[in-house]
Amino acid sequence: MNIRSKLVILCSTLFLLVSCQEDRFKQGKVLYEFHCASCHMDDGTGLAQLYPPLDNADWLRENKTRLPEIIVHGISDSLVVNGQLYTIPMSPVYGLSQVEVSNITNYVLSAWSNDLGSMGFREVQEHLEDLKIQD
Amino acid sequence: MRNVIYSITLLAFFLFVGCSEKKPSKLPIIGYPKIVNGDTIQHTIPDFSFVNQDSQKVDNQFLSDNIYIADFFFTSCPSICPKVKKQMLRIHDEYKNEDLLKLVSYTLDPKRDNVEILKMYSSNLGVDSDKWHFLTGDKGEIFDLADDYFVVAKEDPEAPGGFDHSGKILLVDKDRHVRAFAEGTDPEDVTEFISEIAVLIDEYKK
Ligand code: HEC
Repeated sequence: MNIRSKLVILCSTLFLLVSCQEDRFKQGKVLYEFHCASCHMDDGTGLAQLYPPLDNADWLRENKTRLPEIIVHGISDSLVVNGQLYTIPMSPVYGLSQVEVSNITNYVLSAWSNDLGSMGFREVQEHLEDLKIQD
Repeated sequence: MRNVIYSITLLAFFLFVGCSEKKPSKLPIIGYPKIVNGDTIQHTIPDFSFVNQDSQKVDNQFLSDNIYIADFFFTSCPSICPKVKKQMLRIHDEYKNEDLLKLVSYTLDPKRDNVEILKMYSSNLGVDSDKWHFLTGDKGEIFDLADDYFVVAKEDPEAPGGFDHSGKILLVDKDRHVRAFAEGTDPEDVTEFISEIAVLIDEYKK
């Protein structure tokens, strides 16, 4: 192997390594910005008493296992988030695969100032399977 | 040598002019002027009359002592509206105590967005009907008016929520001329827009 191809390989490996590490939740972020940010905003702050925040939200902290369910089924209960009452229902977000739901979930759990851990793919799947049985 | 010095000076001058921050002392009037009988007529927002979230009639006359920010939206809009509203709210908060400035949001879905729905929406947004009017009325009239505000709006069953529209935010002066606009989904653009509003306010305070 000549030095040039060695260099190319080295560079590509380095590039892959860097680009994979740069943002662990890249796909989740892109999906979030496409499917959720219009209402909950890019920075997760929501909008007044119309759309609740996802960043630093006490409701989410206490109900984080419900995230996959909310994404797939929406939610229509009245919610109190950080002391504010929200009454407008959220419609389901259609057309997401289980992997995509998992990526959005994990992005939201750790985005912005959130430090709510992570949820394995199996766990996400189980939550979604449970829902199917209930339906 | 003389030539070189000359060119450098000229270049430096252009750079200086080009880079120095442009702070217009007067905003332009936006839109194509019409020439009627030899007079130039600037683009003007036509007469309209709608009702706000308190069932109060709001028309041009009602707004004639104010400059205002306008946008088009609908309450059930799942796409760009909430982001635009967030920026409108930013402008609202910035100029909360500036009585010269009002905000006007026209619904593109007047069938659903009646007075009660708009009332609920505005109180959930936490704003006062004195400062920020949410207007509903005849659908055809609203869509025609959108045209005059340079806002693209059309009904489209394929679009999220059933309407396709742009998220422009516009600044209108006391003479119904559009003086500035911003893309309501772009916070940086809105930051610049907020300073343009100040320029127009200055124009009236002089
Ligand atoms: C069309 C607007 C809209 C979109 C898009 C949207 N939501 Fe919501 N979301 C809402 C509303 C409104 C509520 C409040 C529901 C209620 O009060 O019952 C809500 C509530 C929530 C809650 C629970 C309350 C909280 O703040 O913790 C979570 C979690 C949530 N949404 C996550 C998401 C995620 C993730 C997405 C993207 C996959 C998303 N939402 C997309 C409007 C939206």
